Amino acid sequence: MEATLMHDLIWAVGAALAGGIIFALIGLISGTDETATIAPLTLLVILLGFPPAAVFAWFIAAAVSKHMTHAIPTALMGVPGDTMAVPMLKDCTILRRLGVPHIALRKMISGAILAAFVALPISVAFASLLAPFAEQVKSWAPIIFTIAALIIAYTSSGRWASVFTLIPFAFFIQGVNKMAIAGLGKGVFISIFLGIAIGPLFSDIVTILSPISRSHLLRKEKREFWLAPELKTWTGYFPNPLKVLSREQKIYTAIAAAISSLTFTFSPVGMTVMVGEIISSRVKSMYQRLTTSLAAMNGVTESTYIAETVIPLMAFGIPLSPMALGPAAPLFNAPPIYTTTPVVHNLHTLLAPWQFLVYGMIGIIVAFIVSYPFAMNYARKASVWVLQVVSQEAIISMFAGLIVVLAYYEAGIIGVAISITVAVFGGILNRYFGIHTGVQFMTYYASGWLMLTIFGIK
Amino acid sequence: MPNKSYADIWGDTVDLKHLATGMIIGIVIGLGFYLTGLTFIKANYPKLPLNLTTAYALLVGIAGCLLAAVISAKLFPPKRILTQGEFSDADRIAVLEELQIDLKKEIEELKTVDADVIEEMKELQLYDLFTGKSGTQKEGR
Repeated sequence: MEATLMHDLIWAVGAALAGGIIFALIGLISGTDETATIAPLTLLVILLGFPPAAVFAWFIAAAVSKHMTHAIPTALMGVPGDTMAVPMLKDCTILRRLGVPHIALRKMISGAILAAFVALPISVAFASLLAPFAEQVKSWAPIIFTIAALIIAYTSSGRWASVFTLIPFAFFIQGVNKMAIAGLGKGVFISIFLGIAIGPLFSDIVTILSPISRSHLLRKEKREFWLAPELKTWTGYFPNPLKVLSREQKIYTAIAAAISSLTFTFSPVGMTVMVGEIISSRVKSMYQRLTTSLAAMNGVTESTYIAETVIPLMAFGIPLSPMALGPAAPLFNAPPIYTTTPVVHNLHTLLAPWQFLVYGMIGIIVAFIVSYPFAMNYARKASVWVLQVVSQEAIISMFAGLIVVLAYYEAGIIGVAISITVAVFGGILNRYFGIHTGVQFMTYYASGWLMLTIFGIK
Repeated sequence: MPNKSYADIWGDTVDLKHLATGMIIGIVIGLGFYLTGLTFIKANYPKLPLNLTTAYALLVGIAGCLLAAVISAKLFPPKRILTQGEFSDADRIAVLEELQIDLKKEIEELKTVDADVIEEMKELQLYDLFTGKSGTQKEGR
């Protein structure tokens, strides 16, 4: 028993270190989508046979670490680090123009790490409360997925377009899957998932290939980035996040993190905007208002990252949140190792509640040690390096390879064909009609039941 | 094409010819590494279970993708211009005016703010700005 515990602990720390370091670097690249980066590498870790404890610690460290460093482009350049950073841009821009972008960064990442430590235990506790209903939820899963798909569709920016295309998209996905069954004798998951995740890239490629639409994306000049000058005002290497935040900021951040941990099915961006609004209306004096709302908003995106992963995973084992359908999807479904259908066999069944808490904490602590001082000390140098060395061509080159290799791994050339097919159509629906990847993933999970119920197609 | 053909793909600027070459490099090296790895492992470790064989081949494939990224980064420089700004008090005051900040209200509200936050603002030389001192003195208003 003790030997297994030691084994798991060592694996967890090692995996968390790897995840923390890799994603601290990926986070520096502005605009990298969480789903497109975290999901494929997590899938790889699972397929390589990492033990469940290590997989979970890896994921938490990766998510926390990326979240930490993606605040750097957001604060220093006014370019959103990822989709969840968009609501914070306005406040960051004001602080940047007041000459204190480093303060924006510091408040954001200190809020984030505080929120992470608050969110994990609350999520685990809340998941334990929900666990008794797990059997019912699982037996109703297809219907819950369908209802959730309808709700997510209606609340997406595509609104009625998303609702309207729900059944056609389900038909399309199952049709593509039937092609895999016809060609290979088995259905596919990885290829479809990657196709949806990489969709926006392919919609851009199709747009640029057509003479009719090309002009939307063409530009004459290079893109200009504006970077704030160096302003280091503190000494030492390892700053204390609790000292960076004022008393009021600590309280607001902790409360916002705790509450947002309980709303695991809502949109993280929506929650972030709401918290920002509430704080803006309550906190007095502009400087205090800006810094407090930034700390709390970035805390909320962190806590929703954690809660939206931990709660559905621990309580139900089926992906019932935007995060679980995106970056965390492989923790639920990574055939042949983890599955949700016909039986749930994933971290839900492989880890006990205390293990979620312990290995999650290991993930957070390791990410904290790796990324927090890095972001505090080297934010500017690292941004300059990324901007001047890592071209967008190199990033897309890597992802093109990654997608093809993973799809080929699952289903050979048919897998590659399926990924590209789904990417082209899903990407266009996403880019031009606001039917985002969350809607598409949820529809995917509902599609089997929908086709059986509506058309009698098994 | 006559001009440089820049385009915004996946959120950042690329040269289209570079992008096409980069994608080919990624796919050829990635898939090449995967297939070579698979053949090599199968030939040398025939007793390894199939799922591990493919998983290790996958690792080789991912290494290939990383190599492709390094090669592409060397071949194709970023299409970005980096500008570095400086701040001046005039800029700061312009921001306040643009945002239509009511300094009288700010002065009132600052009285309710904790001492440590005030201290923080003084260190950043923002306190005088919000109490209107730097504005009146340096701009002569």
